[in-house]
Order: sequence, then structure tokens, then C-alpha cells
Amino acid sequence: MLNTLNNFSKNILQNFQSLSLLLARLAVAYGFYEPAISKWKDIDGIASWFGTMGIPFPTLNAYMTASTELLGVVLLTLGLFTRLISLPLMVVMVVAIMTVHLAHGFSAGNNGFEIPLYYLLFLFIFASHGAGKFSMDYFLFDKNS
Amino acid sequence: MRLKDFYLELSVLFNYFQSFSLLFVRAVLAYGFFEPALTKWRNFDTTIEWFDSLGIPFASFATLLTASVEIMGVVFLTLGLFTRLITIPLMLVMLIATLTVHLSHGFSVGNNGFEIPLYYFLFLFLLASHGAGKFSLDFLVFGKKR
Repeated sequence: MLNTLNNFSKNILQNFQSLSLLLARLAVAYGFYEPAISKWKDIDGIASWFGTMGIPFPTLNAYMTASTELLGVVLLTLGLFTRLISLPLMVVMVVAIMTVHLAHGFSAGNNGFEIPLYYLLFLFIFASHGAGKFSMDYFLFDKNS
Repeated sequence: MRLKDFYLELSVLFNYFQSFSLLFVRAVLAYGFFEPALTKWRNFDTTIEWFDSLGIPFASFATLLTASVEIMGVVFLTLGLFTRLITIPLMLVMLIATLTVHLSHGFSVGNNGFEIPLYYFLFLFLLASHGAGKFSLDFLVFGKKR
């Protein structure tokens, strides 16, 4: 009985894999949009902020982070090189957690590491599962494999 | 075509981490549902009044249902047991929470907006469609045969 129920739900819900990946990608792209734009608008301020946190080569890292985030917005929306862009974005999230959020605990209300952790998990899902069928990756790389 | 070969090789390598990512997502979601579930059980009557004030019909029944779904979610998501079955009512809970509480506050968490329930909804949707992965009771109980 349970076996039948499990197989039944599996057969139906499996069809939604690509849709769930698409929606998650769009949400994460939207989430990176504001931080990316605000970094580009005030890149010198970001560089000195990075410097005060003890991040080495603050100017270089400010540009790298801002570029990764902006590239992430575009590539995650298109689903292009999804697995590749997920890795540096995960690094950005880990660094953000360690340098800014960890000291504030978990809860998002307290600027804790809740939200960057969720992003890290989404990106880990994208890296390991790919972008799904509704993506440029699927048209370019996956069609015959 | 080198790029294509590279990306396909990369995909094969990264695919090995699918079950890990699903396990982490399940653990974090279970942790996230733990506090709301416990709060609802501890302050059961206050939660009923709160639900009633939000205009939710059959408030006491809805409270019992929500608190049960959430505490079951904590247990089942941790174990990876009946993962697909429990994600559906949990998605419903998130949807109702968004509509009744968070939507009017906009998106941002800082303002109690629908950002976090949206992320939870998306995580649950990913689990519903992809299953619990290999590090789960689902795989032990149901997965091996097929």
C-alpha cells in the first residue's frame, strides 16, 4: 500500500524537476540582483569595507565579488553555465557567512547566516543537479546526452 | 566542442553530490520548521486565537493541522521518510503563511516579508520533485527495488 502510494507520488512529482529548478534559479538570481548592483554603484566604498573586515586585496576582491554576483544574476536567469557559476557564488556566500553573518547567529532578523545559508544550499543544488530543461545549458550541452 | 565536452565531464563529476545537497537541504528545512512547530504546540490556544484573527476558517482545527504537519515535517525530513508525501502539505502551509501573514509586508525578511517562506516553498518543491536522495530512509525502504 505504502509502496504504491510512494511510487504514485514519485511518478507524478518527478515531472516537476525542471520547473522547480527554474523557479529556484529565478529566485536566487533576483536575490543576487540588489547586492550586485549596490556593489557596482559604490565599488570604492565596498573595497574599503572589505579592507576593514580583514579581507586581503580588498579592491581586487571587491571587483571579483561584484563581477561574480552580476554574472550570477545573468547566468542563473538564462540557465547558462549554471554548474560553473554556482561554485564561485558558493564561495562568495561562504566568505560572507564567515566575515559578516556568523557573529550574529542564525536568525535572519538579526542579520545572521540564515539567508546566505539558504543561498548556499540553492547553489549546491544547482551545482549538483544542473539547471533543468528550461535552460540554455539544456539546449547547448544536454540535448543528446 | 571542447567547451561542450568539458561541461559534460563537469556535470558527471558534480552529479555525485546530488544526494549530499538533498540531505543538507532536508536537514536545514527540518531545523527551520522545528521552532515554529514547537511554538505552536506550546502556545496552542494563543495560536488558535491568532489564526482566528487572521480570518482562517475552523481556527482550532487549522491550528491542529498546521502544528501536526510541521512537527511531522521535522521528523520525516530529518529521516528522509515519505519525503515527497510530507512536502506537499508543508508547501501548502508555506503558501497560506505567505498569503495570510507575509505578503502585505513585501519581499524583504527585514520587514517580515515573504522572502523566507518563499525559499522554504522552493526548497520543498525541489524535494518533492527530486526526492530525498540516497541518504534517506526512502531510499532504503522504497528506492532499492527501482
